Amino acid sequence: MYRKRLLAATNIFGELLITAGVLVLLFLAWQLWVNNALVASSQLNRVAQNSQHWSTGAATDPTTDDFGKPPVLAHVGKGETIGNLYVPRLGAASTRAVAESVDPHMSLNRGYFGHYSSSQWPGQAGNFALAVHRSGWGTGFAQAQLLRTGDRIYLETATGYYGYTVRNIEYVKPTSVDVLNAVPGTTRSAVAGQSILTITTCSPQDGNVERLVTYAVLDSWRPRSAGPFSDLAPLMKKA
Amino acid sequence: MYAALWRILPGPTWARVTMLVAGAVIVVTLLMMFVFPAIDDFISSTDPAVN
Repeated sequence: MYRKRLLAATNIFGELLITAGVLVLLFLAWQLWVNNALVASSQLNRVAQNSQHWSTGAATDPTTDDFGKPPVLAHVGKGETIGNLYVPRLGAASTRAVAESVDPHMSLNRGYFGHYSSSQWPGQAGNFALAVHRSGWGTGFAQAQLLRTGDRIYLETATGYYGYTVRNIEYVKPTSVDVLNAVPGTTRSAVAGQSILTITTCSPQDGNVERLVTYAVLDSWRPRSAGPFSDLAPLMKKA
Repeated sequence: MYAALWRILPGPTWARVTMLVAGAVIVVTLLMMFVFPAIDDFISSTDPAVN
């Protein structure tokens, strides 16, 4: 009798363990594929909606590339949309919206690039610093290691298009907050006319022990009335 | 546990299998729609930000 009860209890315990194992696998499947795909597709919709909402209908005007100094982008509140970030090297499907704050609930876990509120803004002397997931949460930045010096990154906003060129990439410790400084990696104050884009993401791809940091320099600007950069227009159609 | 569940369910084998599959689909859907999103914040530790 005692033996039989013990056997039944062991059976139930074993089944509970198997159930727990299945639950963990289901959770991983949700995180890596289900949620990832859902968030990614809602981001692509959002990107297209933003583009449409800001649209002036202007086609690319090739007559000039010089529209003067990029204006400082108007600040927005936490959780609000700043723009759409296009990374041609990673393809149109990698496009994601940018939102204010790096709070996971407000931006990162909803697939956005999140703007470090302590850093500066596009067009402003200093550092426009963003964070983005590298795996899961609908990220478009999983293949960030493919970015090379000279690659273009575009920020589409309500007022125009900011064009950045990748300067370098760097692997740092998760505590290296100095990459967010006005002149990244230093304690110097912002250099007039130098506006940097810094993107921090996880490294290794599914890990948490390092950060992959991509630095790009703002070197061009087009108002919405002039239409997008010629190599940005096809990406916007596909996104 | 699962043996007991099998015994409790009424009907022939095909009916029990159908009920169990339907039950599993419902459970997995509820997990993915409500439970996993709710516990994600407590479980996941990957943080792409520097801090």
